[in-house]
Amino acid sequence: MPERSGGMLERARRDVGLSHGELWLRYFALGGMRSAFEMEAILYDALEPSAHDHDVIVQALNERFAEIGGDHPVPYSDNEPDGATDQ
Amino acid sequence: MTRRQRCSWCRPPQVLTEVIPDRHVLDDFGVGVSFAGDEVVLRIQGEVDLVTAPELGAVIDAIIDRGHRVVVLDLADLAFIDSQGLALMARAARRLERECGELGVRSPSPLLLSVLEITGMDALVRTDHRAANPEPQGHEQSVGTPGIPGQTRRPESVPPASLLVAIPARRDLVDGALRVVVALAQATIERAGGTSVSLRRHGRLTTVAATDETVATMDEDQYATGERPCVAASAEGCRFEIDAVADETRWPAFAPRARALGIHAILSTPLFARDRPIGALNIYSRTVGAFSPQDLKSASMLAAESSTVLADAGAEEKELTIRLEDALRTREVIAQAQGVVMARDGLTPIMSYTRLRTLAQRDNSSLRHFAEEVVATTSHRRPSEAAHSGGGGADA
Repeated sequence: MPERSGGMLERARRDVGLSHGELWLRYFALGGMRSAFEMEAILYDALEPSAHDHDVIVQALNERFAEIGGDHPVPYSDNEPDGATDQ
Repeated sequence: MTRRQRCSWCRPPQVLTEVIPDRHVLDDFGVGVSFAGDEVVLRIQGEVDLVTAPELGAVIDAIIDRGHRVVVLDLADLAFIDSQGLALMARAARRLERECGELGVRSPSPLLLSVLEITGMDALVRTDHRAANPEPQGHEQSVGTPGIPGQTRRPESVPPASLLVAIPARRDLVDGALRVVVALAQATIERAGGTSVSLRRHGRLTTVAATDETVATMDEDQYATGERPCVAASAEGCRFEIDAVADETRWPAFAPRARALGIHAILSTPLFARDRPIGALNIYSRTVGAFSPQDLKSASMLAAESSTVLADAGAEEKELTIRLEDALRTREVIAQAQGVVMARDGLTPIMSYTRLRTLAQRDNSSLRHFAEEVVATTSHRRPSEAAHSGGGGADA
């Protein structure tokens, strides 16, 4: 289980300018299984995500960062900000 | 011109709030709209950034769409503006310039002034250094726009004092546009005491814009009983007008409550989307027989404006459907690629997802693009070959 993000995910969402609905749609497209309501609860640290859920949300955020010229700044659950580890 | 009579439930202070309890409100951003003659002043509070700039842009667009050609941004309460906000200002200024109008900026900070100069935007916007004045003295109290063509709307329909309607920032831009319509109705209908827009959403009527909380609360109260002119207008698509609530017999439960709130005349004009009635523009007055034939015409015109906004919202729904279908395709191709990696490396679904995600990042690809490559490469190989390759040029 990842540590609670301390609002990191929500801050990242605001930084990339995605609404909750837009982020959920991206999360869903990337294979996310949580409802939009649950995903929002995760962003606000009201619900603890599985490592996988956390990583799918992070993937959606990081892909958005990449679209607007950034790297992958939001760390995945393995705490490797560049996500360069493998199983 | 006749002085505007304000009823007790919409009296000053003129910054009015509205309630839409089921929607998220950003507390640190808001726009107050005031109409002073031909000029529309937007008092911006809080931060204009990547998140809030589109919302402010929607409000400005809605105002320009309504035919206003002089828009002033009052920045006295602006806490922060980033490049998105500046881009928005430039876009609005260019649009207004094309349409023989003008964008003004009131009370900019010295820093913002420097930024406007450095970026050359000072040539696009008119700056006004005077202290912000939340209560203009009427349409004579313009900041001066020589050479700007006048508005064609009736000057006598504009209230002598500005009307301020708070527009809290919301995610839903449609609601933002409808709030502008409500503000315009309140400003142009001579004896309007309160105005709201009711819409049928998810099978039930709800108030999406209102000039004050009393109106919004009263609306919500009455949806439950299903008995009131706006419910009838929304269901039947006909205009309902009550000249004197005291004489009203069609809605026996609603009429006494309206009287208790000091409402004596009501005009509910239906709103349509794809030719079906889905809501109503509701105007309440404290005066018996308040609405003139011109008011009925104005209400119809504003209801038509709202219907246009709603038709656009229909287009947005279509766009959402397309995006959902695209999301489903993405999901499917990622699942297929996961299957390939699971078969190839004997991994669990989550482990295969992590591997795909890691390889996609290493390949500088989106997960979807990488998954498509995996699937495409796999489908062109014999199964025995595919099971031993991650596909694409990004294989680990």
